[in-house]
Amino acid sequence: MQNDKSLTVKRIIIFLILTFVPAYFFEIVTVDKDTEGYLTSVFGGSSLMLYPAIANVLTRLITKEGFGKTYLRINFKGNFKYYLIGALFPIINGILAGAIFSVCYIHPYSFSENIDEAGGMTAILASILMLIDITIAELFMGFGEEFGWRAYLTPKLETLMPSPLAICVNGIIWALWHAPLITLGYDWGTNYPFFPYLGILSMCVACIFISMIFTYITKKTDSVWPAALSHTVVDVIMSTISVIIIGVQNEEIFNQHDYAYPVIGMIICPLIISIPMMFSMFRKNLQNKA
Amino acid sequence: MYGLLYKDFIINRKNMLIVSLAAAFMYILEFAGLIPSDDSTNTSDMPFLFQTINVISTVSAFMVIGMFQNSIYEQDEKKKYAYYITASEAGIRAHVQEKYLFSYLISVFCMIQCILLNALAIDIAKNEYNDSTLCVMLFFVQIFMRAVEIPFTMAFGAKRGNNVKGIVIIIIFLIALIYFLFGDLSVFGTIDNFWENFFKLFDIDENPKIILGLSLAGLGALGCYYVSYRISCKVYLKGVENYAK
Repeated sequence: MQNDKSLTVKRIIIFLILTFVPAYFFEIVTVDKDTEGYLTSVFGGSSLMLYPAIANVLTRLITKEGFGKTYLRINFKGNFKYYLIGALFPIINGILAGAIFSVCYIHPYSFSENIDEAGGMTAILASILMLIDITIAELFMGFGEEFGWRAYLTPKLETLMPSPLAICVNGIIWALWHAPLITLGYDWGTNYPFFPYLGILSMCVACIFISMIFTYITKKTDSVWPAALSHTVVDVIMSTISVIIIGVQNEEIFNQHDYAYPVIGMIICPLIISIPMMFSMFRKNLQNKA
Repeated sequence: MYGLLYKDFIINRKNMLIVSLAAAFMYILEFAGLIPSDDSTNTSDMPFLFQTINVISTVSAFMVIGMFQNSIYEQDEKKKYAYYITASEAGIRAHVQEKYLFSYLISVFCMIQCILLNALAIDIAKNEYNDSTLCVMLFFVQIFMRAVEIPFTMAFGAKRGNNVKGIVIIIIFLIALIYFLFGDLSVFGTIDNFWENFFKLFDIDENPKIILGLSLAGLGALGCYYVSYRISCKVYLKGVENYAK
C-alpha cells in the first residue's frame, strides 16, 4: 500500500516536471510586457496546451504504467447530456459574464447598438459559425490540457486524498502552470491591487471552480472528450460571446475594469454553475455522512 | 471499435511516421531557405516567396497524408476479413465507424503537424504571416473529400474509389483553371500584394458573407461525413463482392 502511494507520488512528480518545464520555458523566455502575457513565440503559443497530454504519455512510458484507464473512449451513447453540458457551460458562462459586466459598468446600455458596432447580424453569425468550425477543428488543443490535468493528474491525486481536495489541488497546480503569464497581465490584466499576487490567487480560485465542472463531466462520462470540448469552447468562443454582449465600442470601459471581467466570468459564474454539479458528484458521500 | 482502432494504429504506426516525415518535407526545405546567410537574402526577406512556399508546404502535406488515408481502406479489402468482421460481435458498423474515426484522427494529426511547423517557420522567419486558418480550411476540405470517397471505396473497392476522387479533383482543378483564365483576377491584386489580397477575402470585417458561407461549408462537410458513414454502413456488404482477394 505504502509502495503504491510512493509510486503514485513519483508519477505525479514526473508528470509535473514534464508539464511545467517546457511550459515555463516558453512562458518565461518568449514573452514581453508589451504583449500582456501572450507569447511572442508562435510555436510556443501553438504547442503550449499540448504539453500536459505529452507529459501524460511520457510519464506512463517512463514509469512503465501502461495505458489502462486513459479516459480516451468517447462513450457518447447515453452521455449526450454531458457533452451538451460541456459545450453549453462556456456559452452560458460567456453570456452571463457579459450581461453581469454590462449591468454593473455600462450605462446606458444598448444591445442593438452593440450588434451594429460588431458589423451587423451577418458578421456576428459569421464569426460565431467560424468559431464553431475552429472549435471542432482545434479540439485537440483542449484535449491537450484535459488529457493531462483531468485524465491523469486528478485520478492520481484522488488515490492520495479525498476527491474534493484532489480537485482543489489540481486547480491550484493548473493555475500555477499559468503563473508566469499572469505576472505579465495575462487574463487578469495589470490594473488591480497586489499585482501580480492577487492575479495568481484569483487564477487558483478560478481554476478550482472550472476544474470542478471539467472533472464532473469527465467522471460522469468516463471520458476526457466532453471536458476537452468544453475547454476548447472556453478558449475559442466564451470571450467572443462576452465581447458581443458588452459591445466592441465599450472597449475603453472594459479596459478600465479588466480585473472585474475575469472575476465575473472565471470565478462568480463558474461557481454558480458548478454548485449543482458538486452536489451531484458528492451526493453519495454527503448521504453516507448524514 | 476501439480494438479495431488499436489494430489499425499498430499496423500503420511505422507508415504514419514515414508519411509524417514526407508531409513535413516541404517545410524542411522551407526552413533551409529561412536560415540567414551573410552573402544572400533568405526567403523571409521576400514575403511573397515565403508565403507561397508556406501555402505549398501546407497543401502538399495535406495531399501526402490524404494519399495515406486511402491506404487504410485497402488493408482490409479481403473477402475473408470482411465476412469475419460482419459475423463478429462488433459487426459492420464498428468496422466502418473505426475507419471513419481513424481517417478523422489522421486529418487532425495532419492539421496539428501543419500548424506547429508553420508556427516554427514564423518564429524562424520572424514573419507575421500565419496560415493556421488555411490549415483549418484544408482540414474541412479533406474531411469532405473523404466523405465523398469512402462510400465509393466501400461499395466498389479502393480502385474505383480512387477514380471518383480523381474525377472530383479534376473538376475542382478545371473550375479553378477556367476562373483563372476568364474570371476577374483584379481582387487578387499584383504579385506584391497577392497573398495579402487573397487572405483579405477571408477577413470577417471586410467579407462577412464569404466567412459565413465558408463556415457553413465547414459544418456541412462534417454533416456530409456523418451521412457518408451511414451510407458506407449500408453498402459495405455489397462492396465485398467486388474485392479481388
